[in-house]
Amino acid sequence: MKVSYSWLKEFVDIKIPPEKLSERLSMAGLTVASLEEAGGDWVYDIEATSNRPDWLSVRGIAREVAALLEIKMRPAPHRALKNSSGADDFSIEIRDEADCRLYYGALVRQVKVGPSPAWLRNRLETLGLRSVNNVVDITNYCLLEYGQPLHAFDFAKIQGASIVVRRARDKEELSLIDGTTKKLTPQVLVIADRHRALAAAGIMGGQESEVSGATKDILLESAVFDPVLIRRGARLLGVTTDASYRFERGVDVPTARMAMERAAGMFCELCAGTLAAVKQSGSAKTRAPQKISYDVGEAREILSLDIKDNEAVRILGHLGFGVHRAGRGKLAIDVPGFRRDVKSKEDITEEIARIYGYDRIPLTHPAIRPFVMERPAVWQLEALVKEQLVRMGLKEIITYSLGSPEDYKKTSLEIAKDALCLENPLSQDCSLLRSTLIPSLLACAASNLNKGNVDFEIFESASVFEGHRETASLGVLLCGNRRSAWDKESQRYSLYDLKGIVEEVIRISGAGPAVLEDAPRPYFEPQMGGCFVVGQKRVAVFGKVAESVRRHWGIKVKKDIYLAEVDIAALAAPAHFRKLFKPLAQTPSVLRDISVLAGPGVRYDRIESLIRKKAEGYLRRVCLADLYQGKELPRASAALTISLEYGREDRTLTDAEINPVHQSVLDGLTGELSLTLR
Amino acid sequence: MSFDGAHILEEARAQIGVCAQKESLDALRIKYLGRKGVVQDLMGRIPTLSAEERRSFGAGVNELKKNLEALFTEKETGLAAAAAGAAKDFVDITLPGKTPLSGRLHLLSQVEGEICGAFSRLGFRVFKGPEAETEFHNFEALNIPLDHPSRDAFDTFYLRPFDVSRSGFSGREKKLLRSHTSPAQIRALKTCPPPMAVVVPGRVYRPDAVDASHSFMFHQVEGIAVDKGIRFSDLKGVLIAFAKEMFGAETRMRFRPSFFPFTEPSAEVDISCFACKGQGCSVCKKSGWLEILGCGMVHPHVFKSAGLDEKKWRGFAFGMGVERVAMLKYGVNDIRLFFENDIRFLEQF
Repeated sequence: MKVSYSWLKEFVDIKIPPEKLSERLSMAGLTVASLEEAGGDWVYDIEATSNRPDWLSVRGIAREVAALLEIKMRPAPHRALKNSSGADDFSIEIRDEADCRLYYGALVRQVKVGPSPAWLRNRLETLGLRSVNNVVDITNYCLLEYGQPLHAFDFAKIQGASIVVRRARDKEELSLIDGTTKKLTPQVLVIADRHRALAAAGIMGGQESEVSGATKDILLESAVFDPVLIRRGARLLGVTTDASYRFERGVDVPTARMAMERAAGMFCELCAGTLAAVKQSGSAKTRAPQKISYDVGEAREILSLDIKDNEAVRILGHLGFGVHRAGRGKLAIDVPGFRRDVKSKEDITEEIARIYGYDRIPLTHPAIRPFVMERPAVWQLEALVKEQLVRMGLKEIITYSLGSPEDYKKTSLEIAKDALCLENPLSQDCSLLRSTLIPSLLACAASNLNKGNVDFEIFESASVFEGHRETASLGVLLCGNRRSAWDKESQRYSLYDLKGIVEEVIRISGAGPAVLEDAPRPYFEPQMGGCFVVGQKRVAVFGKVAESVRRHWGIKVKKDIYLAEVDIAALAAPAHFRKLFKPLAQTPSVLRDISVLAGPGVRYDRIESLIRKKAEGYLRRVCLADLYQGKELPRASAALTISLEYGREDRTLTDAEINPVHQSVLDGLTGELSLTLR
Repeated sequence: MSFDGAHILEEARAQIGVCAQKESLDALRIKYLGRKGVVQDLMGRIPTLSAEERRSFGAGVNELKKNLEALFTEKETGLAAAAAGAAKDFVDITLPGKTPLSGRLHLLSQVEGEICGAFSRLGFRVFKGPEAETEFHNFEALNIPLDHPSRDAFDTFYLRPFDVSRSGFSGREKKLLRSHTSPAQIRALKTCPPPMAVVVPGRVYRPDAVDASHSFMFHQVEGIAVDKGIRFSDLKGVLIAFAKEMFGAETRMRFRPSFFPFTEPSAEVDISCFACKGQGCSVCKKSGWLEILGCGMVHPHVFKSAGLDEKKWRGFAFGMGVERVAMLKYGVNDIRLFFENDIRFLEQF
């Protein structure tokens, strides 16, 4: 809402400079977005919050200024008019008073349509409005002054001299004054004559009945329309006007009359018109004013302010509230019609605080009492996992939760059966709510690779959605090399790096044991995808990204990409965070290495479990120490060096005791698994 | 009788200093510390001395011996290291150190952590709410009625099944992507009955076209504290404590009246610009102030929605944008950078 310093001064005797006033307004909640000097005047652009339609008028803002400066406001400039008794000039019919409570029509004859006087033109142009002609300018002037939208019809164009307020017929057409033609529906309220719609009520006038140079008589409309109906209608037609903006927020019944009287007076004064008739349809009765009983002690308590009863009474009085004393500190308050936002004592407290000044409220500290709040396991796990991944060198990414079906296609992923999408997307690229983090990880990798960032390790911790389920998920992606500084020792990421990370995440959860299964997926290279199962639940998939998927994502750089997704919610269910001390070994260990040639027929998990079985009761630890793939070895095979740590807590093992155990391990490997020892 | 230990030591230091070979050092060692060396010679004189002289003379000789031994040892180590170095690889201590691979939380997570951390130290707990919300929690429960202009500030994405024929998603309640973290106020009040104080970080969504300062997805931190007798002045006290921790001890704060349907009275909070200390600069657009959060006293409607007695409890609530705080504090000039996840960006923080 734009308002000028000079216009405000018409109603309040402002004695402070424009800049100071701007500051005072902002600190009272009327945020001044800008203050500009224009032609010797000052223009305030005020952000009126949606609860304060009364701030959408010069008089409404002047009322605030009066309260802030504690000055009495000058009376409004309209002169009261009487309704005509005769029914001959024109008629008004409201089909449903739920749509339109009240409709005033004022017929002004013999107006001379022409340019506005300079002062009127200047006042509107200062505020950025275009001057059209004296009739239109007067309606705009009164709209700004009172906040009540008005409309002037060319009376000659109203067939049968009858105004009908009704719903539009289905597909009824109306050409608006902005030059567009709209097909209407019964959800739009129109002002019509006997035959056709003349205007979209409360939104915009029609072209046909627009005031022009040839207009002789005008019918002035001032009405109270249903806010919700106007809001929906304006949305349906895709237009927002100064009028619809105010009707949506609600206009005041007495003000509708005052604005009509002001405009009718100006038509007579500035357009040489003669007032022929004033008519009304609907009820001008205002609802009984909202009454609030208030205790000033409440303001003192909540605001920690020593505010006197008198001060509170004065503030509320300046703001237009009717205040009656009802005993010590007690007030009986009548809320004026233009303050429909005020409904409870909290609202009164705010009014007092606002004008008294928020800056005068002291600083205190509440005694925040300790309270018990159990943290669900999934929140704990999420936090622990993020922390640990960062420690391991991974960078967190945050990507949009919304993607496109195309992303799934590029990833060779089926869209989940219960996937959700937006009813009102901004674009197809961001229409699908993700049920997996995998496409987002690939998109992030592709964009980094295209920018020349070729070595990275990233993760995202976010929710995924399917039907009514919203669950915590974790995505991990490794690309290229684990970077080192300036030597060439940096290592190429492998499937085992990724698997190690996934195992670490499972380890953090304390859930277990996790069973590895093959997980062939179209987006993984063959035999390079796996998953972990805890209980009956698949908690993680991991693998090497397939060449075809890389191609679809436009990844040309020859760097291997590995990705994993962990179902944090599933992992949290059996999570067990408590750690218990295990006694350290008190006797020395005996270390033995074994080197075997492993091929496609026997996988490592079988070798390890055989070792565990054969050395049961003696084995402290078994781990892979080295993997060697050389040209001299058979195809698709590798030499594995496996370290075994033997030991017992009850005695120190001797060679004599451990040799037969170790021999049975070796025999098992060569016998049961038919492996070659090296 | 006496001797000039300092002179002997200086002479030895000069001779040792020019030694380049282990052999010549050994020869020197014999000269000074050998069986017929300087030190031994002095020792030999001790029996000829009187009882009083013996003590100080002996102590002087011992000290000289110790100092000489130290000189020889140091030189010997130096010669050995030089010999070893010459034999092995190239070494240059001025070569750059190798930066260890270090992970990073996303800047938004870091800032979210700073905000939640500051409130945690004031007694708040971290709470979370769902991103796919019901209309009730996002709007009605928060006193934002349907078809009311107050909804304009909360344009919202609504959800529907992607494939109606296959989906088991029932339409029993309309779901949407929450347009603010405030619906979590209701959930928190239901989960942890007052007295309570929580902060709720998380993603929120609004249909805004993406540009340098807008994004259809962004992050907020919400806070709510409820107890008997909580006052507006407590809200001011808590927020200034937060601001000083977050933006520096000299931070000033100002409260301007504002409107949020779910708080009454409501306020918009500005902090003094930390870049210019309130003098006016490009960061604060010459105003000296930065708008940082919205807040107010919990509206009775919110208590009713959460099934609490609005006459018994009072509270305050606040909310802020994580991206805005991050952009101001770290000088990030384009909101899109947060979601592009360029490794070079991620590694800066």
